[in-house]
Amino acid sequence: MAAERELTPNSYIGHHLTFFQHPVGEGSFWTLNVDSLVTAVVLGFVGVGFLWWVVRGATSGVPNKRQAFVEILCDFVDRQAKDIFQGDRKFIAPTALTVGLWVLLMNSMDFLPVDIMAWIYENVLHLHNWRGVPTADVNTTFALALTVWLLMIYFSVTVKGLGGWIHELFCTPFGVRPLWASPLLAFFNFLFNMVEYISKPLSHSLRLFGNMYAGEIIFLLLWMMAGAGLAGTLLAVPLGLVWAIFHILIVLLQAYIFMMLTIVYIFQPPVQHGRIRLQAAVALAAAVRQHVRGRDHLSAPVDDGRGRPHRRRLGGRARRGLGDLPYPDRRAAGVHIHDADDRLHLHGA
Amino acid sequence: MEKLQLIALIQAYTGVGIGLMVGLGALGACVGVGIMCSRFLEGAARQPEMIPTLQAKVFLLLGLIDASFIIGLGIGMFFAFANPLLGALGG
Repeated sequence: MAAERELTPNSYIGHHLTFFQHPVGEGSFWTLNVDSLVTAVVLGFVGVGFLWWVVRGATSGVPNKRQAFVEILCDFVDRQAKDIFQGDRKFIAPTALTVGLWVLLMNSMDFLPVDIMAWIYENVLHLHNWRGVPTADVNTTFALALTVWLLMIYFSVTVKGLGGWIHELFCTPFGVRPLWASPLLAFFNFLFNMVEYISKPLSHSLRLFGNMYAGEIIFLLLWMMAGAGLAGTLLAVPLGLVWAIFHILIVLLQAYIFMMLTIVYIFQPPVQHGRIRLQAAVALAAAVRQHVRGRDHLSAPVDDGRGRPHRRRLGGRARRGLGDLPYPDRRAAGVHIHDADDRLHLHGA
Repeated sequence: MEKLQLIALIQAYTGVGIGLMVGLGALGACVGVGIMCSRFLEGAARQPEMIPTLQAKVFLLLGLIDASFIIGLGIGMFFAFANPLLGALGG
């Protein structure tokens, strides 16, 4: 670190946590965190630009490694979206891909070591107090979460209609019966809905911010401990390694969670509103039970008109004993004599 | 001297508050994650063919359960390094 400045713990951490700000008006609301903005925009262009560049040269023959990577990524996001929303995915999958990739890139800025990057920013780029991780800035995560919130409201209104949405705002989840209590019930319904509408963007943004910010702080505290002499370094390096490995998981996980919650928040109301929910539930149940049942290749002993009737007559003695059978060429249900483990398979019951 | 004592008082209580925030949050998060993972292991033992699907959901739920704790941690760190309660003293 710079030797000409008196280095105290507070000044070290304070220096690393100060934003490069630029005021465009009066007060702290109109102060831009230029470092977060510029880094976020640059990473957005890098990410989407990479995808565009690969897709531009895409072939439908054997893909090269770049194209295969992008295909795997898009297929992953599409599968996640398909799990949640079985309808038209023309808007949801690109939204999820954009949000997921952008948040992942912004979080990945935390992989670059804090002190080395600070040295680069100060001495190579001549920027003081530049914070390199945009998602460790609560403004960035709130911007993303509020955009998702607005999209959520827009899609709710689109699917239910403005009147339907307002009706739902005041009449769920308690309803309005009995009618004499309806103002009170409407008030409580509204309160419930407000809690849901306010907590969604708050938790969405603060989860991502908290993970990235706390991660950075712990890194700074560990490196501060390493500055305390040999014993501090010997203690800080293994702990730093452990925390860095854990932080890799956190970076990927938080980007994935942000993407999944984007999909769920925006597209849950349209799903719940329609019949799609029932069909999806049935389809999901069938797909899940498929593995367990394992009996799909066996047909039920019913006559669906497809098979040739078996001309298998019963023997003369049986026919005389059983009397007149209505359908002598078909196997009667329940007459199939078998032992206990007939039709049992290894992978199903 | 009087001001120093007041600063020390505020910092002391802030310290206790940060400890409670982080500690109780960690308690809740760990118990929650433990319960969720025990259910996952149970389900995996019942239906081993569902392990990949369940594992994806486990990681998603891990992040969601940790959310409140991490938010509390972030607020705790904020109080540790930029204590707004000291503003009442003008310092």
